[in-house]
Amino acid sequence: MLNWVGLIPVLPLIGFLITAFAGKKIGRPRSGYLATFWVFASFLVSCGVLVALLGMEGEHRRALVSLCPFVKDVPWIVIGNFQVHYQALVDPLAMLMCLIVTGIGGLIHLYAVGYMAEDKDFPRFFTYLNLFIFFMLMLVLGGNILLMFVGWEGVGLCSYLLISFWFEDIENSKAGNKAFIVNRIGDVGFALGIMAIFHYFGTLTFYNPATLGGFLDMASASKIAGGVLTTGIATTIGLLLFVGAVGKSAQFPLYVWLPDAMAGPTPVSALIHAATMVTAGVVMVTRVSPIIVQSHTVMIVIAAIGTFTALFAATIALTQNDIKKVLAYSTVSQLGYMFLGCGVGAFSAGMFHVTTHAFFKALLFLGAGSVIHAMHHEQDMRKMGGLKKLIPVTYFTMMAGYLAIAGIFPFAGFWSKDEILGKAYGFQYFGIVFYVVGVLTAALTAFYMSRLMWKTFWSEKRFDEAALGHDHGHATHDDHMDHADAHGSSGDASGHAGERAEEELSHASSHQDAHGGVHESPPTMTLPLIILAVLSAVGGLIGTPWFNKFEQFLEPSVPPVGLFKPEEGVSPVLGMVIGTVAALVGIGIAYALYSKRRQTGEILTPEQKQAPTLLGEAYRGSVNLWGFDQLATWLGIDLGGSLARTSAWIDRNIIDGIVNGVAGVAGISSEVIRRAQTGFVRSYALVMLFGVCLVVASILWPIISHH
Amino acid sequence: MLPVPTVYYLVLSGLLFTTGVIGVLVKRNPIVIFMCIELMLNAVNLSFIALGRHFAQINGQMYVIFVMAVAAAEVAIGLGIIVNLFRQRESIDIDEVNLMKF
Repeated sequence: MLNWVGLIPVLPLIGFLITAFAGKKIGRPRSGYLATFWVFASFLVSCGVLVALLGMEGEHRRALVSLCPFVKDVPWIVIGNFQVHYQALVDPLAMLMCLIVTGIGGLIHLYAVGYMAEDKDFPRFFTYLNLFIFFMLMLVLGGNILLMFVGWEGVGLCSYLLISFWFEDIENSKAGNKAFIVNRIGDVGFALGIMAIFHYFGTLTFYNPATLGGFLDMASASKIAGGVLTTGIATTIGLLLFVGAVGKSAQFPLYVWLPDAMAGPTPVSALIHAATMVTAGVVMVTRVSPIIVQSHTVMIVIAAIGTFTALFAATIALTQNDIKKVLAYSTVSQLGYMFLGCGVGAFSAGMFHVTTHAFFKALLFLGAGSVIHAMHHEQDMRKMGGLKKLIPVTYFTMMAGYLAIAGIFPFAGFWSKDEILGKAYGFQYFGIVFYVVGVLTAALTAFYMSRLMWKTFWSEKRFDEAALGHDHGHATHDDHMDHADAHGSSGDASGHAGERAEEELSHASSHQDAHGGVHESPPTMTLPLIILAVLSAVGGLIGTPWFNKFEQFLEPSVPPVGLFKPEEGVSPVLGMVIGTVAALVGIGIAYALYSKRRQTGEILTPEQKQAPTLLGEAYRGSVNLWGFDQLATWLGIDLGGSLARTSAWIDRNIIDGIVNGVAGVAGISSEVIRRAQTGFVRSYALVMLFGVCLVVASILWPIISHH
Repeated sequence: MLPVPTVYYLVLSGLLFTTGVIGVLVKRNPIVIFMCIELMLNAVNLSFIALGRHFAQINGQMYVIFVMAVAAAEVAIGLGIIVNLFRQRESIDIDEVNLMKF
């Protein structure tokens, strides 16, 4: 069965090729269902491989097999001792990610069949989605870090293509560019890390169970090719790879692309920018954990960046009005948790959060998509409210996601978040700091998610149902509010609606029971919601402290780390109590504040928002993303621009000056020397005579003077 | 009969060579300059042969053959140049051939 692994990425690739070349002929919605079919087929193969893997002894659950279906060994790059084969590493981590990618990916494909039903570029959308699944599977299955890099760049490409899917709107193209460019910064780190690995280990293969010659085999034994793996080498490699992870997984300071990536269609936000691709950084760090754990510096850096990102993004999520923006910052914050887990050495806890987060964040995004669909592409929460009764299925499924992310017993997020926080407390360095910030972030998370639910579902209706789809028709899918003047005017981004909105509008009028009113989504959309809601509710039970099947399963992929002081850690029960209290405090504050303001759904009055008080300042800071985008603009455009201009000046005047100066000196000196060329042949002959005399004299003189 | 001493040949060779050098320097007719160059070459040839006999070695005569071959080739090219020069300018005064200057 293990030899079937090659099929897992190939099936979506087949789907990609079919949809790419024949998608328009197949038509909608059939091309969408076909694309979905290939992903689910891949999911079935993954399940089969998982069963085969579980049949093996715990310690031996690791195999290096060809990634080409039914072909033994396919060399990819062979240059001297630089050997890269087209191989897959099959181990619990890879198979876990395969199941997440194909399982949740398949559900999101199915959802997208409904969500994108009216889009004129329907086949193109599924082409990209299938290609994304293929690259993501390459990323998680690659048997060497170079194949992982191929997948890594491939998903980046698909992310770019899908963010700017509606490329007629310049804002969407810009968001795509932003994601691509910011990711390049991280990728430089990753590429350098790969080079460092080859330099020190002489191989790029992760594990080689047969020869123990993979670089992670060596790292586990604390050795490199012909020497000892020192802390310095581990720090270098670890930090370089982590830079890559920071870019891909949207950690501070490279998180800026992820909120803008919400310009893509909502299924993309769910699949790529919440459930799978953005967790690639966590997967990569977990994969190379044998190197990471060799350097305490790297671990502290990862934990610190993760914790700071979690808190930072949560504070921004508090004030966003775009429903997808809230979820985007929430994703950044949750990714911070995952890195906190990895940083303190609890790699399996980090991966557990990846898993549960994939359930509930995909659910929340798809739920938000369903809301947006129902509201005729209105994303501003201030223009929602009272949707609880109007779209009950979406409401109930989103409740499950809400309780899961807030960390309420026994939903999925509760178990994974508590495991991370518990491990963070026992961390040798500043464990208590990480723990306190983590708990604070958990409370903030509960608050902003309650705010989202309140504004969307629980508060009074703040829109005219009959007017929907008419007045609001000009709001785009993704109104791109300019961060600088977000407060006050966001959501009224009717400027760049363009023809697409008109087109959507004309489709909307023919849409099932919708004649301008709010409507529940079609079954292809609600079915994935229901499945994900069930997973969000019970999915965490595989990793409870008393029955941690998840950690046992993942053990062959992650090394045990000796940085804990478990005897000083909080007991699981106490940790859970603290976590629950934090969540309830967040929800309680939200309830207390919003229950009095059912009508407006706003806590702060416009005057309070403008006031120069601490509260007003904090509010404006959060809305303005704490000035970080301005800082980035200043760094990139102003500072970078003046640096570029200075360089250009130096190039034009100094570098070119040297080159032109050399030419000038030659010109001037030749001006003088050329006077010697008189043109009289006989004078040349005379000069030659003198020359000959000189040469002869210089040869003869020593001989004569000798005698 | 006593052979002619080598030094006589060398003195003659030196006189011929000097004549050639002076001719090259003072004459304006390229044909005469050529003749002077030939004179210098043959002066050298003479010293080669004389010294070859003096040291009883074949090298001297060998080099003379080479020099004569090269001189013949050189004359062929040189005379060609002079003929062309005359066709171009109706004159072969060497001082008027002065285009290659600043």
